Amino acid sequence: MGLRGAAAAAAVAAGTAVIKTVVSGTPSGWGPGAHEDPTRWRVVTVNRPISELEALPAPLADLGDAVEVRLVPAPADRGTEIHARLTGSGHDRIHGQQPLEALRSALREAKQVAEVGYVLEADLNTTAKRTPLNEPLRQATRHAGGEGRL
Amino acid sequence: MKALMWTGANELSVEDVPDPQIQNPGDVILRVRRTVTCGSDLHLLGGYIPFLQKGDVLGHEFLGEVVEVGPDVRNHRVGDRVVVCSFIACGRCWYCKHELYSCCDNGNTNPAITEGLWGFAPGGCFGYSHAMGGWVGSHADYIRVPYADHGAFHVPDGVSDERALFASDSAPTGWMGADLGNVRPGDVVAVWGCGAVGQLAARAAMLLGAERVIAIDRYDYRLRATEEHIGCETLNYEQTDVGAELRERSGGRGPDVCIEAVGMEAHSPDASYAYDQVKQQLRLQTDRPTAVRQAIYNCRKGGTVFVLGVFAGFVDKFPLGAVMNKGLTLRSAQQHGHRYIPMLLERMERDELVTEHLATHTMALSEGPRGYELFKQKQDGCIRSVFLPGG
Repeated sequence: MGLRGAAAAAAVAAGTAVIKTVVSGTPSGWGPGAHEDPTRWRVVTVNRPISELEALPAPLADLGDAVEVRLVPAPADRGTEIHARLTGSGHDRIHGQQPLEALRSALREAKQVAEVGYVLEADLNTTAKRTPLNEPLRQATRHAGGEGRL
Repeated sequence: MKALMWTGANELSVEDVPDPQIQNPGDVILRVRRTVTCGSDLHLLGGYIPFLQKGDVLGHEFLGEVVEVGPDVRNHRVGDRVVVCSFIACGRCWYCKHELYSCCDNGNTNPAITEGLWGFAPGGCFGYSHAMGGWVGSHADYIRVPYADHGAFHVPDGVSDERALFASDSAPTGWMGADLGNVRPGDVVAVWGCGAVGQLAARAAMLLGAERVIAIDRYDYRLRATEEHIGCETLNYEQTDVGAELRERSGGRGPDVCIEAVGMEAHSPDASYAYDQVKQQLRLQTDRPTAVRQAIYNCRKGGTVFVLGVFAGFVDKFPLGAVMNKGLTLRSAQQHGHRYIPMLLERMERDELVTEHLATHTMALSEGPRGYELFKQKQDGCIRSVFLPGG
């Protein structure tokens, strides 16, 4: 490996540190910190009228009593806010998933079902190969539908 | 099928990969007719955007022929020739309804990554890393296009593949810089970067009525192409005092609109380049914002700076004082191509917008690694390398 290759490899290695930072919190340093509350209301705004959402989209309805849901008209032309939070302690697994991961995924998927009619699937014909360097990224993408700031 | 994949920092190879398939009812499958390199790919290639995995297929600017349609697709049939917006947008969320397509809420299947990076997730983009959805790119024989009724556009018979290809990304990106940069008749507009996006931003500014458009680069062959094919003025920043030239050519006011079309690997002839390079390599900053600094510094009071170049994270020595005290409007976006592509195709049909000269090197997809090397190293007068899959 020449000097250029070594520099490039170092850049990729340094990049894994960026990924770890993103996955573990926020790069700005303004993460939830001590105020993280697993039972906090999580909210998405759906670009559909409230009348279309009274029968909850399946991904959210499927969570049943594990979550509490309320619908609120969003201001102006923004549609409807779906507020949802975990019931109980917020630590009981839902359908085998971490509860917050299940809730975030359900909210995002419910929004897609309401707005588009289906949940967008990631490409199946990906050819990414596992390497030691990309393990943090693979870990991040495995849970990317159920993590994040929602 | 064959596809061009990233196999490590500055390493590419063409290998066999599985064919795409219809997965959602709004999908189409295209046979890719042409697919082109983009300057923003170089950030991925070199590892500056560290969200690729070995084996990921690159490419986001392309056109092709529809070979399969999902059951919900209404606007396309097998055999249609279409150009596809590089950003994947549902067409239904609030952002899409407000023509902020690259901010689509639903087009990125990995939202947590960019929520962590940027606070909220923009839409997805073909072949542009797992941060942007992990979508398989267009440097392949075939590609799946989600939300095809919204993101794929019929190419008029009078527009060649060679020209229409750039309606996928470069032309709408450039147009957006001039449009959302609020270019008005009589304006003086400066554009940093004479790659395809910069050239087409300059052309957009001219078509929107700018009095004077000045494009800036350091490669003479790109400056010559800009003068010849776009028809605007140019400056070589390694051979002249750019600030003094811009003041002289704008009546001492400074440009009304400054469009940055360079991105996170900008160069500079002064010591700031070494400073930025060291800080970037040490990850004390992720991006080199040289051209953005110059655009902000040289823009007239009350003017607009539009950042078209791709940036990923954090920059140092950002001149916020100049933005604030000069009353600048600073705007940016990934491209909202869906709002511009039909209009751009019409302009291409009327010969108002020509792009063929950008494709300086056209080759079989199997020669993709060589095409990227030519493009990255600016060899042999390369502006863009275009690949022909199936060859």
